[in-house]
Amino acid sequence: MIRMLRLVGLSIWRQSLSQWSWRSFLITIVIGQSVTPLLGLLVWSAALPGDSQVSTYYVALLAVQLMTASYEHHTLSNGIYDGTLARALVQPQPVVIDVIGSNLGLRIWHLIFGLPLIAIAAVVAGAQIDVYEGMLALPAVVIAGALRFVFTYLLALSALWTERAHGVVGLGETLIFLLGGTAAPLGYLPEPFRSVGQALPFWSMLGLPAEIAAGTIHGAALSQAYAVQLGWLVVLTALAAVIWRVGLRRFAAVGA
Amino acid sequence: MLKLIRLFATLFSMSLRRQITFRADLVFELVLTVVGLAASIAALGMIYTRTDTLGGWGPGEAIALLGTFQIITGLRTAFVEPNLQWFGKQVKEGTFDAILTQPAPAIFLASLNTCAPLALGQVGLGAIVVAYGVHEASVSITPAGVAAWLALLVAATVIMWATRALLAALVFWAPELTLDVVYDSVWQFARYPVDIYQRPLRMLLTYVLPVAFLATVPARVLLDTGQLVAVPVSIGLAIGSYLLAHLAWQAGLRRYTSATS
Repeated sequence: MIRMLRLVGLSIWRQSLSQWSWRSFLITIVIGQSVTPLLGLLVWSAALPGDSQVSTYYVALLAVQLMTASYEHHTLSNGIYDGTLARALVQPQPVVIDVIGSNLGLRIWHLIFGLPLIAIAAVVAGAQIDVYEGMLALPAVVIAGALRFVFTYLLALSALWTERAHGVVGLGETLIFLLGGTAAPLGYLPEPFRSVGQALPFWSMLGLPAEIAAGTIHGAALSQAYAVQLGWLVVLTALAAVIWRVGLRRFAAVGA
Repeated sequence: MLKLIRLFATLFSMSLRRQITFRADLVFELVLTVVGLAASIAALGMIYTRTDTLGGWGPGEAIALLGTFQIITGLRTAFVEPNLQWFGKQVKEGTFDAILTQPAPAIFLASLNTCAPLALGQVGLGAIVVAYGVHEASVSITPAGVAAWLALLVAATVIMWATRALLAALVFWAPELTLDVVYDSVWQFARYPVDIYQRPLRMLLTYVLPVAFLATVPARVLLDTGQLVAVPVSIGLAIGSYLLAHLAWQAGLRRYTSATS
């Protein structure tokens, strides 16, 4: 276990250094990630003028979006398509370590480059994030990050069966957009949409930490939300492990 | 001119034949389009559960705008993106040479060489969404309004193509800069009426970046024929952006020195 953590740490270090070499492009993908939460902020501020809770929520959502950004369709799927997965397979460490390392490296850069954007959005929108509630949301951000990674990883594994892994991941992102709290804060939806949305995994990946930071979830609802989040993490991780085992048997690298 | 049109008709039919060879992809593409569009409409619906108007636009009107946005996006995905996405790579690696040696203007060959005809499904679905939005908004549509809307769609298409080509030409001056994702990000602002944005942003999206002319202006003219003055403005803007793209490419091509190994 300790060895695994050390390997992940080393991988984050190596990957983030290599990501730094294409930093100007990194800034553009940070902008790309920020666009849907910012649009949500603008549209909902126009729909409900003077509602400071909705602006606080969307500023928190922007931060969560950057901290949970996942690109496994680029790192993992493209490795499957161009055969570089073969090289990762013969290394004396699980393949997933480098996928995690590059994911976390990217998220660190996303947060660093995104901080000015978050700060500007917070000031312009008049977001009021309470320090205590922000702290309360931190574990949820970590679980959301893990959950979104596992979900994207799972969809990216479709590259072992089809040429359209990018489309599959895109489909997953559409679901996260619609049901995860970007299209609308789930708390603003009528029943039964709200309860259904809260039980699905997408809200646990994105909207939940933002709602906690904005102070819209308390008490029993909070612990229930954490339970749902952890439950989905266990289910999706188990599923990803099974799919990886089954899919790997199909893998045949290209080239000599 | 006629020769160019014939050339692109041939290229289109080749791309179409290439794409329909893969039937599973065809179905998958259709699923992606329908899900994406349904999600956008649902997102609008969620907003209208809490409010009646958004920047002065009712639900039906906003749906008609979304449909218009979808049409222009479909045209962009079908004709322009397959060529200009990651165009900088061609210039950096020198494969752009192949385009320069062909007997047609480089700007057209580089930006319209291949296409993805399946994405035209987005255009068809967009048109259905516009019809549904107009029906929901229960406004009466005049033939003049439809004609103006079509003219504005053509203008918006030219603006889309020209701004995209302009951005691609940036590689001749700044090869390290890849702004494809930024263009996509700004593009997303067109899916809502620009009236909802605060004043400085609205000004930026109308006068500096012609985002307002992609969907907001055409949809507004379709729903309210009193705004016909937008037609000459939009056509003028389309011609202006075409000329700008043309000049940028000419100047850029003079700087192009190919890549050596």
